[in-house]
Amino acid sequence: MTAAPTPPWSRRRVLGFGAAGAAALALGACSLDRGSSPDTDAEPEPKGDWSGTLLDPPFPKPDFTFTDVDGKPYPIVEKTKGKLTILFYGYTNCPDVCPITLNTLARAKDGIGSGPGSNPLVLFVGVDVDRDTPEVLKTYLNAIDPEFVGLTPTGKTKAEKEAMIVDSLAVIKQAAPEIGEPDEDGNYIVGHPSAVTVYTADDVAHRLYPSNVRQSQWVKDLPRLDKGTYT
Amino acid sequence: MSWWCSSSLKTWTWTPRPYLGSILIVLSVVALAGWWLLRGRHQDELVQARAGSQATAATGSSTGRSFAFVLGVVGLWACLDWPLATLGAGYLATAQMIRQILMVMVVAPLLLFSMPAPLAVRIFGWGKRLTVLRWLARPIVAVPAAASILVGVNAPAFVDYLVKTPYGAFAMDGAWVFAGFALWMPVQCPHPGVRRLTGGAGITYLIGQSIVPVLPGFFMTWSDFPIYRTYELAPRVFQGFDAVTDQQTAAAVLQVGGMVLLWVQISYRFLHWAYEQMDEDRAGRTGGKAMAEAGTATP
Repeated sequence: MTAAPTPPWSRRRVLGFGAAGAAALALGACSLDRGSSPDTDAEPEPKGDWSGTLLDPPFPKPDFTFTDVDGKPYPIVEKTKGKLTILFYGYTNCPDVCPITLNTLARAKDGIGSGPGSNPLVLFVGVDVDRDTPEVLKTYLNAIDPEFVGLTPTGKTKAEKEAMIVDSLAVIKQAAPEIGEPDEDGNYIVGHPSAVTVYTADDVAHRLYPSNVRQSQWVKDLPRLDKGTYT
Repeated sequence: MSWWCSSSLKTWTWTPRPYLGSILIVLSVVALAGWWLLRGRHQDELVQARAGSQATAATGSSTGRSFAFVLGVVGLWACLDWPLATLGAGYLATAQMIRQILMVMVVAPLLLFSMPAPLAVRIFGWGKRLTVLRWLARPIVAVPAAASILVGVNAPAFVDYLVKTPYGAFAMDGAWVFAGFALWMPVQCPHPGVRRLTGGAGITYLIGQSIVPVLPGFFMTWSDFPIYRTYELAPRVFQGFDAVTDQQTAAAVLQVGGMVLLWVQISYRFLHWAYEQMDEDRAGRTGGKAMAEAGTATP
């Protein structure tokens, strides 16, 4: 069989289509939005096979009395004494980090099932003083894991409550929340620390976790922390 | 406007975000078809004559091909643009698997079916490129090629790495397209110089291929934890639809959806083949009767 002559100009044209398309894509890639890489890798990676960063010296617990979802006082140090405790600050209108972190923790708890690390005390502190009321927190956490403890700052005025949030965050060396500008509907976002502090039975935190820890990683770390191992 | 979709930690919104790259690709395919139509069809006969007896007869009417082309282009656009592409690249494994199934099981065969043989000849010619095409259209090459690509691009390490950037996501989509064409080439190659698997052989080939979506789906179904970091840590699109549920739904889409689409094709081919056999039998009987009558008339 001999090859049939194909007009060369048609091949050039077909190739031209491809080249033009490739050039347009390359141009687009260079000149336009380069896309948004996930921020999940932005936080420093911990060393070894732990997902959290080793704290040296360890962080103490914030010695403050918050208010729980039933309106009762909740002194953190007293209520969590000797227990594996996970402390996380966020807000109920948070669109991303808070629900992801809390859901991941809830599913990790399920994943551990029973034994060490299976029943950590998870404290979620609402930093949005205006919207995170005890009732709102209760509804929010019930949808994720009813065993999670929702806390709001205690105080007579908004300023007192905000000061309590800032002071308690300072204990674990985290920055104060920042309230964003409301949109036309009155909604606003709150910038807040996304770190998760885990306290072991000795009532100090030896490991600080970023918000992007996966379920499988929690399942690996929580039982070890519950047994008092952190290095 | 971004040029291609990629993962993001931004909260999902239903505000449209079209992608320049996907629009350009869809327009290029439409432009290629338009250019081909404007050239006229007078050269079709020449190409068919050149193909001669070795060519596999093209199936499908012109209307059917046009309809397949429109469906293929619409499917391609749906796969590559907002919202499916955006959801798939950064929010839901289910959306990503819907895209994959659409691309591999729907868009690729429709575009191959709709491509006129003369256009395939224009693109691949009769020389070395045709040799490569013939090689790719062999089941012994197509099956491992499609299977390894589909298993590879669904591996968590690849997915999490590729969807981070528009370049990676583009490469992944390209791999799907290649895998789709590889999978369907033995039964749907539009080039008249490539002998296609028809009838029972084609059906057997497609039944063999139906195992491909099962492989990646298996790990997604039985893993205790979300296997893809991207979808596990993505902002939720639907309340209550968590990462594990998403992953299991994605596995169902991949396995059940892929299987259903493949079996629709297999059933269609089986019926087509059965009717052809019946027609041949009928023609044989009619011919035999005519010959018998002619034989009795001849002294």
